[in-house]
Amino acid sequence: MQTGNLLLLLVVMVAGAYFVGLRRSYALARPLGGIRHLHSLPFYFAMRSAMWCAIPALVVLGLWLAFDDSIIRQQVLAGLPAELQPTDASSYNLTLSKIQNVASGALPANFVEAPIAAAAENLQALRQTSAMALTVVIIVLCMFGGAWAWLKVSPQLRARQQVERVLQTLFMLCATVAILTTVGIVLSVLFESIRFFGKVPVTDFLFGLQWSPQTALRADQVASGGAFGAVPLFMGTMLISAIALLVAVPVGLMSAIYLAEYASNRVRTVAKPALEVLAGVPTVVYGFFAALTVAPFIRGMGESIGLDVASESALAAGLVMGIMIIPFVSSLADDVITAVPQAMRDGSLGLGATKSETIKKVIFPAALPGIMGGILLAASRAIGETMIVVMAAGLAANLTANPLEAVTTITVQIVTLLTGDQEFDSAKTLAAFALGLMLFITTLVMNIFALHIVKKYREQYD
Amino acid sequence: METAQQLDKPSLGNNDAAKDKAINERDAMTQDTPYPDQTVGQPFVDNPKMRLRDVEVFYADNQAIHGVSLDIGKNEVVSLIGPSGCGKSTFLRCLNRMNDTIDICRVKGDLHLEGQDLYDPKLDVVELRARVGMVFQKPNPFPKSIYDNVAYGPRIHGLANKKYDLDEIVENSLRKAGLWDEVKDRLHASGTGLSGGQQQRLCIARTIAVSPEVVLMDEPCSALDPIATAKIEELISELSESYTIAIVTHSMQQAARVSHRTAYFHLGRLVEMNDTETVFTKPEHDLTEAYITGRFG
Repeated sequence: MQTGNLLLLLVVMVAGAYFVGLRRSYALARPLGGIRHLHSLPFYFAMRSAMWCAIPALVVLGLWLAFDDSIIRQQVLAGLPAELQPTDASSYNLTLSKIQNVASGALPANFVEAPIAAAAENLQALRQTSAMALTVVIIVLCMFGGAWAWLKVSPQLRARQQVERVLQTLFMLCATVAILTTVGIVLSVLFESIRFFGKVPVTDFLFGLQWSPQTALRADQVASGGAFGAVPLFMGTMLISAIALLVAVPVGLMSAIYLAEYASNRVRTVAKPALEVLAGVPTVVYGFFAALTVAPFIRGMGESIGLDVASESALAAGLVMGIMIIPFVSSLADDVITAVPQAMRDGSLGLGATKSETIKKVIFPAALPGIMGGILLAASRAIGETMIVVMAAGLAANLTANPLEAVTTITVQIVTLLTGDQEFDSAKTLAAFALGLMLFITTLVMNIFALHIVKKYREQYD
Repeated sequence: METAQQLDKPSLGNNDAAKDKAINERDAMTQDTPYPDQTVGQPFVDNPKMRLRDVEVFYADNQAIHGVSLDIGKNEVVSLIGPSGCGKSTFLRCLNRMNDTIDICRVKGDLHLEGQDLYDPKLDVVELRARVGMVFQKPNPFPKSIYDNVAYGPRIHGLANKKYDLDEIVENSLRKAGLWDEVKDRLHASGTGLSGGQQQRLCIARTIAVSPEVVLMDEPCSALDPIATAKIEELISELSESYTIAIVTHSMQQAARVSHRTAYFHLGRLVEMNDTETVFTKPEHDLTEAYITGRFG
């Protein structure tokens, strides 16, 4: 039976177990005088039956599907004669795909060597056996689980607690998925980075002032030798992020103060979601807005006052990115400002302070940790932002602090290093992983720093 | 603040006395409603600090205060008592326009502080609140140092030119609030680190640091233990020498201990106002008697 059908069957059996459990608990309750004489509600008995039916079967199904393919492959290859045994990884893959193609009918059997054709048949047979065995095992497990649960139902059974424990485990598993994914990503980036640092010294990467990742593929090719100094990229990232924050922090903070303290309820209910829509605009839209509207505008402005502005400038990318992260600052700041107790405002107003004095001297200091958190979050977002800078900031790795020149950022370089056809063991490609690692460490440090600040300067106002 | 110079019209003359009489007569005529429409006792005094007539407060369409008229005399402690929800806190918050911070709240009537109309559109609310300070139910020190808490008002209003002057204001205010000896060695520690009673005295010090004429207290002891309460009550008696005080309280013993006159509110109306002793020994109105003898409240 195919896995899809098997799952369907499983669902039907689990539903059956549920209803059988439900009916049994009602049947048990009736002679006792109602469901209040049961330890748990009938729903919990039914859920328990369904869980007993589903969980062992699902666990076995998962393990089976995870391992049966590799076991079968091993079996098939072991059956091949010695001269056809694969010797290295590539011939292993070749032989295997040959067998699989024959088995699936994509390759006629008379096109390949006889042992291969035999192996293909073997493969087919093994697969069928496996599927059959799986079906039988699953059905038996479902039956046994359901029957076991059915037998154990009694008025004293603590089904409610058991369901609770299973749910708790389920929630924990879901939380683990996110954590394990993060760990997996970090490890893969880390290992590739280590490979990169085997080719290029760490110090060259961290302190080199020259970035030109083009390396020669062949000895006779005309290309630069490759220079992997990341400093210009860091400078570019920092420059653009700084411009973005210069835009987003004042605008975001002041709009948050307006929304939280001055705006009437009606304005607030309209303006706050409207501001948050900014965060929902796809970054690629911001990107062409920056490249097609803002950058030429800045260039025109610069020319009219006699400045030489590159057509792709850090300023254009930074400004647009600043607009993009306004909602991060304003939304968080608005939340923390609103969270400052009314008693603080009353106290200050009651002493004859004006609204703006109250905001400046009482509310702002009390809300500062939260505001700092919002700003650092926005900064992490700015550092990691890709699309806007790809489209508006350019590729030239200039080491400059002049916002009117083109710069490039870490994220842009990662994109250019990994797009297109690449071989995966050159220093050029591996550099992307090292850059990713640096980016990750930077934002991680900023987040830890933000948490630390929030903890340290939190003003206790209750 | 020099209030004597701000008197732009005589605060109470024959004219007003006649008007008060008329109000009392009108109230007497509408006595057949089930609500206590008529205020009994002596709500008015000669030469009052605050003269409040026909005060009505609405929250959106709900009327919270119905035609309350009373006077608060100079250097007098007036306590406002009554069951929960009777409008005494709302009334108190009208006296320095703290109700302005509530969008849906509207106030009607004549409210005067020494002849100054409190709800005059040309009036500077900020200045009014410097003259009429407020202490709140829950101690609400700012999350700043003790020194900065007290110096907050004087700094905003520019009351001190030099650091030395400011130090003096802070010390005097803390002394008046009876807190100086307890905190003089840790003026730069956070105000929120004090105990509840100390925090409330800090809030009182903060209020009197701007030299208000009137101090409003909205159940200042309700969050405090009996010892801290006793200290605050003692403090109120001392402060009444230099300030006019209006205090909302749920404790009748407290009203009896600290106040000169007591006003009893019921369902948004002023039922009775008299000398504190009279209210607690010979209440004129049945509702007052029922409340102070504990039949409801």
